[in-house]
Amino acid sequence: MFFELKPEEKIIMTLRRHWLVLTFSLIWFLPVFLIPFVLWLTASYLNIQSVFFAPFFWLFCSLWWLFAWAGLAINWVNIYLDYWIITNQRIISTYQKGLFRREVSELSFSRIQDITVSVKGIIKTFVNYGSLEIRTAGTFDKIREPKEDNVFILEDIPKPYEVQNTLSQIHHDYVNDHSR
Amino acid sequence: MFIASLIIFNFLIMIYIAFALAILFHLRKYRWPSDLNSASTTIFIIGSLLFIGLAFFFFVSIPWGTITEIVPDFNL
Repeated sequence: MFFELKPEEKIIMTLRRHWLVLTFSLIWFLPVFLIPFVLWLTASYLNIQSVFFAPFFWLFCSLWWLFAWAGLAINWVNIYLDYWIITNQRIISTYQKGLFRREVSELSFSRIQDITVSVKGIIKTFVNYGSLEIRTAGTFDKIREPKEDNVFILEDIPKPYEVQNTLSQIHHDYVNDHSR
Repeated sequence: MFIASLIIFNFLIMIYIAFALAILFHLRKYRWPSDLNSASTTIFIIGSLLFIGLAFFFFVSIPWGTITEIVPDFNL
């Protein structure tokens, strides 16, 4: 793991973006792979093929598919390597923003003031995934696209209401333990 | 023309391999235990080998000798 647990700290749950978000990110990339076939049909319709056209065209297509495959994999990495780790003391957020660009943040439960769940749209409502916004007592050094300075966001997580209840319980236990 | 094309082709393959190694590095380094990283890594490697093989096949299927005869000025 890229982080170390503190004394008496244990991992409660790990969260990733909902599998539907990953699926949609792959689906919208599919037309990129179909572009060569469209070009081939267009060339056939316009009758612009010659003896050397087909070999060079399919060589270009194979290289196009090769780099499209890399683009698809980079898109997968960007989304799949976003995850959140919830322990009994803090929340650790990891955002992959592209190749060799990664942000890791952590939020102690002592700084949590408010937890808000946001589920917008028909698909998100029926599939039950959405965003969870945690408002803190102070400012954040590393926040991903904040609307406010003190908001910690878990995006497109499954079962956000259950996660909200879990976080509230953990926060309650944390405050009780540290107020003694 | 064949040599120039071969150089460009190899250059593009090397660029792709650099991207592929970067992707595999991220999947390896930031993996979380008991997740799909091993499956996604395998799928990516198999797909890469497939498309590289396809590109190589189409490259060697081009009639380079015929092209050189028809367009001798491009024989490098």
